[in-house]
Amino acid sequence: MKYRGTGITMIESTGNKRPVGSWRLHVDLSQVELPARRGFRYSNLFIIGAVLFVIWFSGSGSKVAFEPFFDARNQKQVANFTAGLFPPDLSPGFMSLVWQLTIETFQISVIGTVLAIIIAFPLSLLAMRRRGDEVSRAALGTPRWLINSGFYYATRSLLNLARAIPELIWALIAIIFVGLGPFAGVVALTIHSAGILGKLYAEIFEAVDQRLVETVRGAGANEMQTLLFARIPLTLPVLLSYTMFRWECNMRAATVLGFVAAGGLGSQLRVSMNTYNYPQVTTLVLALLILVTLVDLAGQFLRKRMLDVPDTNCETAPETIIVKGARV
Amino acid sequence: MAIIRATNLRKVYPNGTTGLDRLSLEVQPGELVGVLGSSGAGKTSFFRLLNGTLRPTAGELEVLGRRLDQRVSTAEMRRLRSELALINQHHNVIPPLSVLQNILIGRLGRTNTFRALTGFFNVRENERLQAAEAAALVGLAPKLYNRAEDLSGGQQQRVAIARAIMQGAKILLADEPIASVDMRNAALILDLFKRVNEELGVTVMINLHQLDFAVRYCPRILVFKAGNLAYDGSPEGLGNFNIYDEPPKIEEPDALDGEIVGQPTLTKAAMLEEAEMGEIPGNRHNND
Repeated sequence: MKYRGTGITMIESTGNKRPVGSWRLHVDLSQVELPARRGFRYSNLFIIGAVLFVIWFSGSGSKVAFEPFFDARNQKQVANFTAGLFPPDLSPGFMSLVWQLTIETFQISVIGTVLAIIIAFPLSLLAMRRRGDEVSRAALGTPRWLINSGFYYATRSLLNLARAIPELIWALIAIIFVGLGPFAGVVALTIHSAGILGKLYAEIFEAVDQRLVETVRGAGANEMQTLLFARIPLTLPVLLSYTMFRWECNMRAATVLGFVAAGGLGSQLRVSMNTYNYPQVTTLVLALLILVTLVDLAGQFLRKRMLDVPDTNCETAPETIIVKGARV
Repeated sequence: MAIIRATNLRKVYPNGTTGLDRLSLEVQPGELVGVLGSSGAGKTSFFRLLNGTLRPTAGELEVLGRRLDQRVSTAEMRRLRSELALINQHHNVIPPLSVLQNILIGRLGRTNTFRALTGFFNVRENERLQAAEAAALVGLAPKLYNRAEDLSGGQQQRVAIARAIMQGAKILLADEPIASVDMRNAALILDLFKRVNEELGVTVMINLHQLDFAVRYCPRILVFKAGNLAYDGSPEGLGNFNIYDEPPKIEEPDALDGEIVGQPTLTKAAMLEEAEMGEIPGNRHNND
């Protein structure tokens, strides 16, 4: 059987043993001009070498060693420590304290995250690079462009600064301003998370399918409306997912912040550890574990609600009927 | 007074490809124009220039009395776009939004940002009615509250038409609107364009690959070739005019037997021949 007309003759493979639909294309490749194959780039070797060097360099610097794990003395100490953790302290007096502290950690993380969203959202709009012919070429060098790119670099630097300094350091700075207490923890979480969320939001909004953005822009929408009608609806599940993850991180960070700034599970964790009261440490860690799991479940529920839409596709009237005389 | 006027219009892309080369044409208000031409002839480039998504490299382009050049301001562009609707082959609807919200996007050009902010959640009753009417006109009233991603390709095209109506557009540009829908839906969509043109007086330009549809629906036909206008006139005058860039190559039958003839080319003539022979390689799987 021959397939004519393309300049290629297709000949069916001989023999019945071949699988159905097996073809052999009879093409004389000497007659066809093939593009040159891209060769191996030797600069790749340099990159691979550099990566390997960084790994070796980091390993030697951080004194990686496996012997301590096999040392009998160390193993005995670990066994003693682990045995001391059990049973957890479940006395009513301590449990009511743990309950109070868990609620406080929860509250710090919620307010820290909410304030971070409020700050991160407008910053992300300024830190977002707009794409398209219209923006990059026609507007190049105009005052508007200068203002936009000025804001872009300024916000990016601000977000980098907020992100580069860890929560713990922010907490120490915050204590100077607001004193010891849960609020110092809130301030620290807000600043650091705003840095992270601002960058993430900006990059999520940038990555939206440009053709869809152009569809909305093409109907006369300005940038703000494009955000509302294209960028946000298209990325809502991702935005939610990242924000929930950040909340979860803040929950853990709030605990650590308790070590320095007081408030929450962390403050008691420090006291219990310093007094070698390991059963209390176990209870506190369990409380934290339950808290983080609950946040995760809440996030799953919200995402499911957002992605699952009730099926409205049943029982529709014949759609091809065009209503006559509809006033427009 | 022409509603669209291009004079020696040129568009060269940053990578050096020429989209349009010294194109000159005029479209009068209320016309229904079919645009033909092979892929890469500049049809889409022209529409994107009209829409302001691209800016001309050289030459003049005037749409609705406004001159579009490198210097046109964002605010001016926004006013123009609210009067000009562009429908693409794909990417016409925002998938997670409902049909109603997608149609309401047509109103954004005339809504200030603050109103859009509250209007996203709280739609005004008269706008909801208008959107419902537009949806009914394109036969999508039962799907008003469905997510746009649940609709078929043809239905999404009709949502875009409803949005153009909602927009109150004076010009409607449709870029290959029926390239990926079946014949029945294609006829339905083109009927809608005709109605929008005749009953609402909207100037309509449609990019098509289907010659028969173009001849049936469009009183005026433009043929683009290599970024320029090759034909401008009635469908009757088109006759045997070859609308493609290269003349169809007809291979000599002898040369095809067994041996390769130069570089593989798929010509229109070859495709027709295939169709007549009824042997399409994909079907072979079933016969074994």
